[in-house]
Amino acid sequence: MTDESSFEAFYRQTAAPLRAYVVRVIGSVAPADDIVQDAYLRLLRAPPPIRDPVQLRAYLFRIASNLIHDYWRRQRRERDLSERDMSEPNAVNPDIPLRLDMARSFEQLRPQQRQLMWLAYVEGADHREIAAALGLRERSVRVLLHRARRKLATFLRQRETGSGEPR
Amino acid sequence: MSDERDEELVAAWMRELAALPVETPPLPDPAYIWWKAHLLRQWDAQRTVIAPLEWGERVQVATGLAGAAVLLVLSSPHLPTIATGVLVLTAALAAGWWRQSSTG
Repeated sequence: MTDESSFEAFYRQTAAPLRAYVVRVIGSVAPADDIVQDAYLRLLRAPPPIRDPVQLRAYLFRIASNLIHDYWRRQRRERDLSERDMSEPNAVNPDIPLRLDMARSFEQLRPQQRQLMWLAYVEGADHREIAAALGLRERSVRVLLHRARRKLATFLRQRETGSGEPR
Repeated sequence: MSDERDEELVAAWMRELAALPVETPPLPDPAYIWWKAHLLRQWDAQRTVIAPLEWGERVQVATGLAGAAVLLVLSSPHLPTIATGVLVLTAALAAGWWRQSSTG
């Protein structure tokens, strides 16, 4: 990606899915936009020797995942102030109960589980790609993804039957 | 069997979640990001060029201060205690200045 027009084409293809990933995983819009912009800046500031757009996209998601981790680290430091901000429902229209409900259901998962689930089910990434994006081992991804899936499924069933949140 | 049902349930739910529009302001213009990255790259390149010059400047100032201190000591043989004090003070100031400019 050496010229502005190729960057623009890449940006138009990737910006919306990247923002959706970051917003859903961290559950807040404003910091998500900062993370997305920062991810592109890092990509352009030190461009990797990657020509394949698919690999470049995976690399972009890896940068964003690292920035998400940095964001969570900062949040943990300010935990006492930001406990509520972490689940700030800005990511959705609060006046539409279904959306809010779905966003809250997703937030029942741990942050890493949200990343795993989004990359696997929305981005369609395989275990190897998820491992690369999140800095995990491929074998660990299989196990963690299985746990996340089971936890979300349990929660969804309990929600349907109205028996509360999972442990 | 249970895993398969989980898989179906979760996959359908995730699709539904992904399809929900996220109410966000419009994405920044790619030209703006390109321009900002260009400025940052220029700034990085500038820093790389300037870094040795800044380091040389610090060495220059430190050498000047040390030389001035030595001259002071040599020109005031009757005040060795004061000269030593000035030397120590100069060294301390130089060290403080060095640290400050390194972190800043």
